[in-house]
Formats: sequence, C-alpha cells, structure tokens
Amino acid sequence: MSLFGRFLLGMLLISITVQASEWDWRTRVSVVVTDQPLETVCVILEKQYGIHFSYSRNIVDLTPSVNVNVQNKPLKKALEEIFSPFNIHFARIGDQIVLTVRNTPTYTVSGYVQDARSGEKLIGATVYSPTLQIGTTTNQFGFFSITLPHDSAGLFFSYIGYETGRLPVRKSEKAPVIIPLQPRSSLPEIVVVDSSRQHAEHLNFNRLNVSAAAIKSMPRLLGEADVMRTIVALPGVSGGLEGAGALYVRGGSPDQNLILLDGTPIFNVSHLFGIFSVFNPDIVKNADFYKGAFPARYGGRLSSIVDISLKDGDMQQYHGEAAIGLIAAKAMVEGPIKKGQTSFLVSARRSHAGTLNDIILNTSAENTDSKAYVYFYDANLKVNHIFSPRDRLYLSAYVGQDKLSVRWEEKQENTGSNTGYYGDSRSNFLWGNYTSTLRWNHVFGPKMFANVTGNYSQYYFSTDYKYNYKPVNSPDTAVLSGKYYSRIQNAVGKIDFEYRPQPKHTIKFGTGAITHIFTPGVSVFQDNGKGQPAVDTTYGDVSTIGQELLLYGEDEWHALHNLWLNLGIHASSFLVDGRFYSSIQPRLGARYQLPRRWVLKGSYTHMNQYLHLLSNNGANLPTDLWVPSSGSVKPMFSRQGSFGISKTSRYGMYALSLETYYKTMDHVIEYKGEAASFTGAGRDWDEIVDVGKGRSYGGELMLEKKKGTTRGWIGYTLAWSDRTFPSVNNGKTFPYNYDRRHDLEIVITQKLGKHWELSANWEYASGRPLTLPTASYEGIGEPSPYDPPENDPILDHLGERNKYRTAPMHRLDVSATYTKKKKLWTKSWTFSLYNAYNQQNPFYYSIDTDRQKQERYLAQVSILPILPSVTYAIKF
Amino acid sequence: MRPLINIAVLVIAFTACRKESRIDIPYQGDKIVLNSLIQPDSLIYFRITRSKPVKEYQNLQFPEIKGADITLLENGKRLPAPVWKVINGKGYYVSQAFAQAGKQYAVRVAYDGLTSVLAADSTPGHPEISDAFAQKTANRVRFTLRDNAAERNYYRIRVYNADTVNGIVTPMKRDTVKFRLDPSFNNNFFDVIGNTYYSEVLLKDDRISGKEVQFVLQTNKQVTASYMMVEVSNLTESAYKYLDNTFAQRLENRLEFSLQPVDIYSNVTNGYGIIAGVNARVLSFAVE
Repeated sequence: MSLFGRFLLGMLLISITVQASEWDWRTRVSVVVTDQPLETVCVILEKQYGIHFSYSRNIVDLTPSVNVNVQNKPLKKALEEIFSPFNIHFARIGDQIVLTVRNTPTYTVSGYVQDARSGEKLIGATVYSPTLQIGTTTNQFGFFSITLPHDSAGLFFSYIGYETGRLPVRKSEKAPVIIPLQPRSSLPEIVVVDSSRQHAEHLNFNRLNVSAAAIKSMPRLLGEADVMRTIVALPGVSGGLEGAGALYVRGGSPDQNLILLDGTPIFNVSHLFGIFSVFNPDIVKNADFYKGAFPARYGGRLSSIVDISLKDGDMQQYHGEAAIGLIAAKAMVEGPIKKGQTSFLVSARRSHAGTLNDIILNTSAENTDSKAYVYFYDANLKVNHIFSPRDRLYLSAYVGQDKLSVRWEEKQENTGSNTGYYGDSRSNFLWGNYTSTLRWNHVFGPKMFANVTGNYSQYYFSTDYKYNYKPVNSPDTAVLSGKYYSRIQNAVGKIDFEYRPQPKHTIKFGTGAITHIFTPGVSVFQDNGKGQPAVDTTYGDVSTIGQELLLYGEDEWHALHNLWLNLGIHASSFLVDGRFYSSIQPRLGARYQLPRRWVLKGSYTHMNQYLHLLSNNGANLPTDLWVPSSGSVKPMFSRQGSFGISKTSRYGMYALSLETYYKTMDHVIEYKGEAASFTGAGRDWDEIVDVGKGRSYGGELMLEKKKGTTRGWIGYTLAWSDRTFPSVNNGKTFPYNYDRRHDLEIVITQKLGKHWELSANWEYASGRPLTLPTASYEGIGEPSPYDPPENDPILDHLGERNKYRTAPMHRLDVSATYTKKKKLWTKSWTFSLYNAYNQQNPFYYSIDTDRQKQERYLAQVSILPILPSVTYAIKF
Repeated sequence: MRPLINIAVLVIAFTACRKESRIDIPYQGDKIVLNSLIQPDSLIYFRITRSKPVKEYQNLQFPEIKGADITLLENGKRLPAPVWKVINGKGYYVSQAFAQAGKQYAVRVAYDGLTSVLAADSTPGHPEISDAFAQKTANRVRFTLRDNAAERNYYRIRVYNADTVNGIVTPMKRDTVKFRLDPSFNNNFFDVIGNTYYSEVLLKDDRISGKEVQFVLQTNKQVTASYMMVEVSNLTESAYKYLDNTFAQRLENRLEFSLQPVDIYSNVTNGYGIIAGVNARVLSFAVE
C-alpha cells in the first residue's frame, strides 16, 4: 500500500471511531412501521439514530413486509426482535451494523392434519408460521412437510370449519406427526376462512376449491345437491343446455374436462341425461377445479380439471346419513373396522318410484300399450387402512348405472274370424361407470412423500331388445333379439412423489402408464323365429388399444417474498394402431403480491388430449362415443395464457378477482354432415368428421364474500369462443355452440339463527348461438307428377352456422334448509324451488307449419318450469 | 337424428312449453329451385319454382317459374329442351325422350332476374327383388332382395295396398302402408323400441352387401287388402342423401335444426333442390 493509501485508511479508521461514539448497543430506540418492508426499518434507524447498515442484497432479503412496534428499547434487543424471525444475523463493525444470513440449523416437521373426532384427513389445510410468515398446505392425502429454523416458534394449523390448532417447537423428528383439529361443532356447515388461509392461497395457482359445505348450501334441482352444478355457477363455466349438467369451460367442450374421483377418471359424470351428477354429495370431501394454470401433474384433457376427493371413513366412531327427496333416496355409513387403524365408508343412492317412473310415452299406434320407466343408482365403497405411521392404503370402488326400460304390447284380435296377432317388445338401455382405485401412501422421510396409484375405469352404454310376434292362426312367428354396446376402459398405473427440500420449494414429480381400450360400438341382431340361420349382422366389432405414457415434474417455488412460481413440464406419448404421438407441455404459473393485498397472477400452459368424443352437436348424451386419435384425427392440443389481478380485504371478508384468458385448440372435431347414428360409428368414424381449430378468449370477474352469516359470490363472464372447420359452414369461422357473450351468476347463502339456512342462485346468460333457416322451398319425393303427395313438401335451407342468437335465459333457484340437532342425531328439511319465477327459457327451436291456416313460423320450446322439491335427511 | 329425438323425449317429458318466437328470420333472397327424381324408362319431369322467406302467414304454395331456359344433357350430349306441361294442376318441364339407366344427366336452368343453376346425377340400375308374400289379417309382408356386391347400394322401400283396375293391379298411393323393418338391416334400434311405423324406409347396404336377404316388414295395421305392392327403389348417393335429409320435413312436417344444424343435401349449384337418379321396381301380388 502506498503512503497515500495508508493515510486514507488511517483517516477512515479515525472517522469510524469518532462516529461510533454516537451510538452503542444500549442506545434506546423506538420504531413503528405497519406493513412495510424490513428495509424501511433500517432506513428509519439510520435517519433517526445515525445507525448505518451494510449488507448484500443478493444474500440478505429485506423485502418482506413487517409490522414493528418497538418503543424505547435498547438497540441490541430491538434488532434481535426485528431480525431474528428472518434468520438475519447482525454485528457491529466500526460505525456500521453488518447484516448477514444466520446459518441456523433447521428441522423439518411432516405429518397429517386430520379431523380430531373422525380421523378424516383434511385436504388443503393451512400450515403456517406467523413469525416467519412462511407456510404450506396439506396435499390430497392431508400430508404436509415444512422446514423451519431450530429455534423458531410453533406452527399453526387451520382449516375451514375447524378450530385452529398449534404445534409447539419440537426437535427434529423423522416420524410423521398427527395434527388433530377440532370441528367447530356449533357451526358445522359454515364456511369460515382463517386469515392465515390468505397466505396459503398464494400456493394455489388458479385452483378453485369447492367444499362439501358449499355444495350442500347451493339451491337444489329436484332436491339433490350437486358438485357439478356448484362448479357451473363459477365464472368461466357454462352448463350447456338447460337442465343438463355438462361443463363447458372457457369455450371447451365437455369431453375436454378431466374429472377425477379419488384420482380415477370418470367418463360420464351424469345421471338422467345430465340432470344429476354421479357424485353423491354426502360423501364428497373436497373438489378442486382448475380452468387454467394447470399443474404439471395433471394431463390428458384440454379445458379443465375437476379433482374430487371422497371422505375416507371415520376411524373412531360409526356415523351415518340418510336422506329422501322427490327423486332419490340415499344412505351413507362410515366407521372403524379397527379403531384408529382401519375405516370404511359405504354409500348408496337410488331414484325411486314417483316422479321418474311410469313416464308414459305417447303412442300413435292403435291397440298398443307402451310404458317406459327410468331409474339410476350409484354406490361407493372406500376402505382406508393405516399400516404404519409411514404407510396408508386406500381402496375405493364406485358403481353407477342408469337404466331406461321401454315396453310395449300390442294385440289385434278378430274374434269372429279367429285371426289377429300378439306383439311384445321389451328394450333396455343401460349406461354407467365402474371404477376401482388402489392407492398406497408412503412417507419416505420428513421431506419426501409418495403415492402409488392403480386404477381402472369403465364407461359403457348398452341396449338390448326382444320382440315376440305371434299370429293367432299362423305359424309365422318372430322372435327378434338384438344388442348393442359401446365401451371405453382405462387402466392407470402411476407413481407420484412430493419432495419439500426447503420451505421455498415443493417439488412434485411422477410417471405413469395408461391403457385405453376403445370399443366404439358393437351391435348384433338375430331373428330366431325363421327356423333358419340368421344373417350375420354383427357390426362394428372392433376394439382399439391405446397406450399412453406420462412423465411430469413441477416446482412450487416461493422465489421472492412476494413472488410465487409454479414451473412444470408434462411429457406424454400415445401409441395407437401403430401410430406414435408425443407431446411436451410446459406449465407455467406466477403470482406476485403487491402492497395492500393486491396480487397479480399469470399463467401459460400447453395441454394435449389423445381422446375424442363423437358427440351430437346439441346435447351431451350417454350414447356419445369415445374414440382415440387416428391417422387423420390427430391429438387435440391447446395453448392457454391468462393474466389476472385479485384483491383480498384486510380480514379476508371479501375477495375480488379479475382474470382474462386466451386459448387456442387444435384438432377439434365436428361431424361433416348429419351426425351418424350412435349405432353406426364403425371403424371409419374418422371419415365422417372434420378436423378443425377452436379459439376462445374473455374475462372473468368474481366478487366473493367469504365470512359471516351472509356469504356468496357474484361471478361475471364475458367470453368469445369459435370454431373453424374446412368443410363445415363453407370453411368460415363460426361461434361455438355454447358461446354465450355474457353470463352473470349471483349466489347468496344466509344463515338465520341456529336452524335455518337460505340460499339463492340467479343466473342470466345472453343467448346461445343458433342456426336459422334463411329460405324455404318446395321439395320432392316422387319421380312422377302423376303420384302427387297429399301435400307438397316444404323444405328449409339453413343459413350460416350459429350466426344468430337464441333469446337470453335467466332463472332463479332458491332453497331453505331447516336443521335441528337432537341428542343423538341431526335432522334437516330442505325445500327448494328450481326456476322460482317459472321463466320459459329456450331449449330448442323449430319451424312449425300449419297447413290449414297456411302459416309457418318459428317456435320456441321450453322445458323445466318451476320445480319444487323437498328433501328430508338425518345424520348421526 | 331420430335416436337423439327419441331419447330426448324423456327430458322433454318435463312438460315442454311451446310458443312462437320473436326472433327475426332473415331471408337470403329469391333463388331457383330445381327438382327432379329421374326414373329410367320414364320421361323426366323437372319442377322449377322460386324460393320464399321461411315465415309465411298467407300462402304456403311456391311460385312456379314458367318460361325458363332449360338445357338438358345426357352423357354430355344435348337433348331436346323439355317442354312446359301442366299435370294435376302443377307446371312441369317434361323431357321429350325417356331416361335410361346408367346414364349421366346434367341440367342447366336460366331465368331472367335469377342466377342460373346447374345440377347433375346419374341413373342407377334396378334392384333385384322377388317372392313377395302377405297373408290377410296378419301384419307381415315379406320379399327377397339380392344386393349387388360390386356396388355401393342405397334403397328406398315402400308398401302400398292395391286393387285391380281393368285387370291390372294398381297401387292406392294415397293409402301407403306404414311399416317397420327388421332392425338388423337398417341398423336402427328405435324402429322396434320406439314403436314407430314409417311410410318409407331408407337403407344402405352396409349389412347386406352381396347377400340375398329375405326382408320381413311389419305393418302397423292388419293386412286387409286383396292385393299389395312392394316398391323398392335403387337410389344414387345423391338421392339417398336428399331423401334421408328431408325425411322429417317431407313426411312429418318437422324440421330439427336447433340441436343439429345440418343443411339439406342439394346438388343444385347456385340454387336449391335436387337432381337425382332413382330406379324403382314393384312387386304386385295377391294377398293370401
């Protein structure tokens, strides 16, 4: 060092010594800040007391917001109080306080959060350290893992409807801990959102959670609460035709929704042509709904994920519920097989005689007696066994079926001539799902959790008929019989890992294989009355097997104190009929917290789908056929970007969310002409469909009140969705069938005293697209003018596809539930009005011709008028 | 579409309500409507009319176009222009020679103030049918059809009661017999379970290609006539598509466009209607 350099250093040291004399560790300081970055505290100390801080921004993070109220405390004590929760070490060097990160040993706590009474695992429970302001949530199995400094204060656990629990400071422990939370017994059905839950929301990118309480508090159609109808009431989701419960999410079609029941895909989610979903609301524990920002662990569909978890069964006591309504009766029992170790849950639901049965179909034929009746049932079984603190096994099964039977008899007897005949026809239509799921949870260590899943799912539609014809005086009998069935089967083997190396990272990865077996439609007919071998009319007896492999990885990363990222990638491949398709899909999500609880969020995801649904344009029917991608129909593919902003009020009472999205869909299909009869989709199904593109974009606004006796939300959707196919509508782009421009949903629930809960749901949606005839003209049916028909046929030429709009629809549903707790059980009465003011909403349109008046006009047909219902339920 | 409607009956059973809609239906403007089903060994009858708006409150008749300029080609060779003739109170342009099987016919129609139209189709061979049988007071009619394996065939089947006029069996065409076909042949369950009888049945040869098949038709009423006729028409693909698409409107005055908006098949360029070949064979027989 030069002489000049030494001089400067000497001057500097002298200066430091002089400065240092201005404060010491006993200097009493006062600092008050509210919701300000930690850095502000340093600035105040520097300004007021001349204390300089030195630190590297890359190492020491002073951005977290803090509330500090230090009054006249010695400096050292004050700094300890301020910095220690953030693991920041301070030391005096000369005139400055140098900040560094304390290399504190950490410990990891992992375990399960569960209901204290029943042992039911709680999904999405918040685990939170208020001093460190870090936290996490439990996964689908109620498991959590969090790493903390050794000397940090305890953890808090909270969940909707439960008292907050606390875990004191403890030494590192490898075995999972059990955190029991006490239900708030006085308010069993109220949704209460703890303030710490706001923090947890940062971890959930675009996930909308639908709790069992929310499902049950919605107004009911014909007395049945329904998870799918609750989801339909959310912004960005449309229910399609009135009465049908299909999901149309952000301009996508119903086949683009992956609906999981305890991790097993369900292909047809409705009973009675869409009136009810197949999920018994009494055993639904939780439903998560994603319409964008799809986590990488999900794949195989373009538009949405509905992940429904059923209750596991009470580990301690027997409980049950039973209810009877206008349409269905149901019962559920749960309890321990071995206390604290094995539990079971059984539920069953069936429609009953009354409203549904004995629907008499009108018939124009004389001397015939036609009857039709329809019913549905579903049943669930779940067994949950704890082998050890680290190993749990879940076995669940579902069976559900709808059956429509049609019978007609005809008789023509001529007593005088001893002639006539007798005819008897019986037909059955059956459709439904079978699923079975085996899941094994294993905790490898405090930071590593794994779940192994094997499941099987089948959807089938089948019909059979028998027709006997017997003339009175002739041997010319006929015994016709036939059957038709279509089926899709799915077998999944999958392993998922969850690794939490640090509080800031939750890494999920996994791999799986799916075997799809498609049997689009087989029919066989026979006439056994001819006394000769029947012509072989077996048709469409073709099964196709598709093999799908998937691999994914994602990191939920708390990158900065106010920035959360979800970075993931989902890769999959599909092998079918010798063709190989593959796809790598990035999944990116981000949340950035601004001051005053404003949050910016954005996402960009790719999704791929190897399955297609041959569906009629207008309705979602059980006859729709699942088919795999083929040579000419490639896998569907979508890109979706979304951006939004949200705000939560100070105590979490209100939440406001505004989100915009843009989505493209490639290789969507549409029938080129008239949809084929479901019995006629043979091997060449891909020749009768056109392959095109879809696009949708729009904005969604949701204002929610989350606390108090009055709760609910207002959801508004402004959306556009269109399709383009080379040979449909002359290649011109046209609006998608369910492209509704405006959709407003208002949902309110009101608690009145201890016994009553009222709820109302009002929906307004602008008209859906409609194709109208734009000219009429004379038709022909005969080659010769000398054989004129009774009336000249009048035909209509249809204009451009979906160029016009139906009338808008609006409807109010209301419901009132009276609950009374007895000594051993709770009873409830639910009174509902569907379409309370009897609005006649358009279902379909037709051109009516009145030959007598020489008139033709457009007619609107409405269904589902005001429908009252009552349900009685008990719970013990 | 019919299966959909049959199933939808249950949904609509929740007391459907019907009323006239106020939605305005636009009109696409006048166009030439050209219709002819060309039957070999017969004159060709062209019916030419003008289109109208869909909503109508006074008159359901369509205006005839008289004085049109018609060009008719057979296998590309121009034939004498058809001549205007009124038959049963309606105007037709009638060819001056019989149509023949296996020929291609093309028609061009020009008329002042309207865009000219073009259409073309061929004429099929006749179907091979035999052995018709029915018994009085029963409600079954049988016949045998031999399908030609070398071609893709489309059929229309109709049944008539008949009588003898001057010793000739003559169909009573206004007395169409409604019937159902064994569903194994037309792949339609709903013909049995829906208990619906039709005045005509259309089918493709998917299930009977190259086979000789005995068809059993079940009539909705007991057979009482002394004579009956079974008419089977071979159709070109155009004829099949047109007759199938227009089934509901021709025979039931119904139009289903809201749930499945598919336009009626037409091979008339710049206009509406159909030019298509059909070839009918009739079995007349005495009922036993």
